[in-house]
Amino acid sequence: MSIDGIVGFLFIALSVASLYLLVAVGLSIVFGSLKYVNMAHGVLYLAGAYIGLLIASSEQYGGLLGEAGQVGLGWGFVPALILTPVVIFVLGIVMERFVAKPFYERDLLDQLLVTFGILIAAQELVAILFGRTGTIYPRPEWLTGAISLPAIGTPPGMSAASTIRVLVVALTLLLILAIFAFFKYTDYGLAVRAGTEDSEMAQMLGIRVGRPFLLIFAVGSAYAGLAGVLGGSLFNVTSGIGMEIIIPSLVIVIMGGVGSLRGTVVGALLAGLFFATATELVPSMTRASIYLLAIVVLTLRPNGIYPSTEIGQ
Amino acid sequence: MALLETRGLTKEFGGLTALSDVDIAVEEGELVSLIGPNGAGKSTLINTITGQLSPTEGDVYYAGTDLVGMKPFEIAQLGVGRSFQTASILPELTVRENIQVASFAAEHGSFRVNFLRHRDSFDAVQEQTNEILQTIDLDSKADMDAQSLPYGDKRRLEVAIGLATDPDLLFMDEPTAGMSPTETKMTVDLIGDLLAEWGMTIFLVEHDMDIVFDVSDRIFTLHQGQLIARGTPVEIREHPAVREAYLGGGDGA
Amino acid sequence: MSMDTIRNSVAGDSSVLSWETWNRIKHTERFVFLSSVLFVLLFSYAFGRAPVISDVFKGYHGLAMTILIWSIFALGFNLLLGQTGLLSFGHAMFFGTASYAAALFAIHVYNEPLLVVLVGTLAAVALGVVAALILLRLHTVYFSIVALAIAQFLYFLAREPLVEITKGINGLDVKRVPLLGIVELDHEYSGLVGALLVNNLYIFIGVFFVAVVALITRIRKSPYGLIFKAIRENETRTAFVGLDVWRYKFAAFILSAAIVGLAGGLMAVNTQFAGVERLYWSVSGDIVVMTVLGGLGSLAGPVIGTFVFFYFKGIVNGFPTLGNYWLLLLALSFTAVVWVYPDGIWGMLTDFTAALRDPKGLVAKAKRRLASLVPTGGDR
Repeated sequence: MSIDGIVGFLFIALSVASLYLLVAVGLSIVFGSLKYVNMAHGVLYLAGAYIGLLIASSEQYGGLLGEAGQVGLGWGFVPALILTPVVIFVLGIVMERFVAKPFYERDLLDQLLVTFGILIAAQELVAILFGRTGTIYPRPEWLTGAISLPAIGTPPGMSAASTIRVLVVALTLLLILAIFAFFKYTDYGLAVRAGTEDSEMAQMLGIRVGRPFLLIFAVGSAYAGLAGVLGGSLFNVTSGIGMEIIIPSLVIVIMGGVGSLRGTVVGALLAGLFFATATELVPSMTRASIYLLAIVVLTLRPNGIYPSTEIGQ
Repeated sequence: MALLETRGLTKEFGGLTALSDVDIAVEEGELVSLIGPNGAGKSTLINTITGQLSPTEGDVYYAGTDLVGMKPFEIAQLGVGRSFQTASILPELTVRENIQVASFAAEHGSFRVNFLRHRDSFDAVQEQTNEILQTIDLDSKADMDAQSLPYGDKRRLEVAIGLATDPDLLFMDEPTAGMSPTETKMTVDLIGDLLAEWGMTIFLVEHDMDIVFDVSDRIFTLHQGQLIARGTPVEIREHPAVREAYLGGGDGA
Repeated sequence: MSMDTIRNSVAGDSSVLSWETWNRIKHTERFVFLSSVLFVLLFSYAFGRAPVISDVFKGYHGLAMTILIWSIFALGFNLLLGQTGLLSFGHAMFFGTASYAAALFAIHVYNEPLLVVLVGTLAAVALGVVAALILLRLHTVYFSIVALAIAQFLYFLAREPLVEITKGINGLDVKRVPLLGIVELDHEYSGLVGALLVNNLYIFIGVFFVAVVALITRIRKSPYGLIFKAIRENETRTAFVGLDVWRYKFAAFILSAAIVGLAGGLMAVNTQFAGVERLYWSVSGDIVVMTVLGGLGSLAGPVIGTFVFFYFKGIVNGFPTLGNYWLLLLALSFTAVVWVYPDGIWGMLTDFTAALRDPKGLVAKAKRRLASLVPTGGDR
């Protein structure tokens, strides 16, 4: 394989992995720390995509909003990229207080079922408001096309390393490093880690486990919202994308091992690699690839790649 | 040959040693008690013997069979019964059904393909269930949901489930915790019946020292994972190490 | 409980139609069997000439048959979730695989409705064995999601790589042939039989429906019914009384797969078609909604849930203003049921009839439920 081929291959793998990772991170931390499984996390991705759309452009939608003519602020892509995560951060706080918190003491199955119901309901609401046909993001000039990397120029195989994909990978790298830094170097991060290990002890020691966990929930939500904007600009935007992204994200979190952020990252990278390999070798298997990977991994290691000692049963 | 024997039983969790070189022998028909301060390793010992945990080192023999490596349900089928410290019952089933489950296990083994037979047609199970209900004095509440029972009754049901497995050796983990004096007396009487009439061997973990000294044939004392004393109630009462670790410190019943 | 006992109690008791007698009777197997036969007889007719939206349903009668088949699906799913407490988000794998197996057998080997349905069922069982070996080692949530992963894998497999066999998104067509070579399934009846049962296909499906209801009732009343519930309530304790929990879970899984496979095979015969949609996550999601909405853990619950779901999908969908909201309404109802009313629609009905008899008991029960919903822990 030539250099361009390899680079192209890597970028496909990394950009796929990145998008899943941005969504999976929030899921993984909440599942690991709060012992709360949240399918409604997909709502945050969905909301991110549509709110980003509303900020970035002004369009005629179907559905109920169609009656209002052109809807949207039309401020452009970058404002959407910056503002949407903020909005979703707030939405995350609302979700934690009203949806998640009542279910912390309840069965994991109930959590799965309720959050599933909320995701479906949210998708329907979006479909009713915006209509059932999809839309696409208006992409700014500087974001289309491909990047030319030093020493390689812009050879043919590089169309896969399109600018938008580079942006996705770069942003994800930064944000993941930020999360790791949060856990390692901040007080809140320490509180979350302590709270994960033993929430009773943390409470007794006076660490108010409430606020750090709320923060981490909201941050994870914001990441998912950002992923919605990025994913929305890579693919098209329909009411079903919440479920479409949450299934592989859940699979990745579980494959990596619940409670292990490292596992989630490794899981996402593996998924991206598998996807890119399938695109090269057996194109018809690309969409099936991540599921095959997960099935094989979990058959060999039923607790995931990096199992933690305790999974909130 | 002792009914139950552990040799050099050791259990480590990462860096923590929960049990260290524990040697215990229980003869058939006797009632032994295990005492020790909180965190001494009493629950760990029971969990290791009954198969929930696997020992780091050492052996466990029951009626000559090596239990190490066996699964909990296999050990239970050999005749080792257990009642738990917390009322580990089946909440949404009735009292009768709770006992029936255990009775089926005793009656037809760990697994049967009998999903086409009506459960009322198993006479032996019905008989045994009724017998246990009467012994434990819950037959007036047999058709109530287990979760609606008051706490003391739940503990009694817990013991009943252990009994219904028809064990030869019964582990009772703090059976009187949280019971009223009347209920406690009932449980102690029950234990007496189990020994005398049912010919059971009993391994009792208890914090209530009055009961322990009253019913036990022998007592083992565990402290920080090690067996520090064994003997008759009289011997234990006088034992210096026991007094220091446990009784003397004011950490009594 | 035999007819003799009922006769005796009726003779000796002055209040013949007491509620207690009713309580006993309604749980007997004979009653359940007869009710289900009656249900099948009256269902299609009582459904009425309602306006039905989608061509897929081919009129109210088609919808009635669809509902019966999906009820079988729901009953099989409930065996795993309601009874044993195992939530699989990928049960479409059995529905879809059985459908394909039935169609492929009909096309490439031999086409006869009964045989084809049997083949579908067996294919689902075979898949169930493989899936169980993977899934039963996993913790609760892992189990649910990996089940979904397996189903999605099969979906994408059927769509592209195996397109030669499955014809991808176009699907496979199954010819309608006579049952056992002699009975025309499309043959319509006249008169009373025609009004109630319409055609032989309905009878074919109805017989399977009654059979499944009878099977599940028997399972519930066998030791398995007890043990499945015990596993759901407290798996550790169940193991400690000496039961091989893994093997019982395996049994529940296989039984569930078989029943769902039966539904898949019937669907292929009914619609004369087998396609990828039957493997898609929305099928798995739909069955979860139907079963939970109707009421887990009961026999009537899943059937009622299925009915409500398809009523909304096929009929409410066509209402002028409300129509667009049918799935939203269902999703919200489903969420509400999981949140506060786990007994579902059937639970609401039984609580209502119980309230008519004993209002105080209902209030007590409601109080207990509300108390259990208040989170016990403080701030996390």
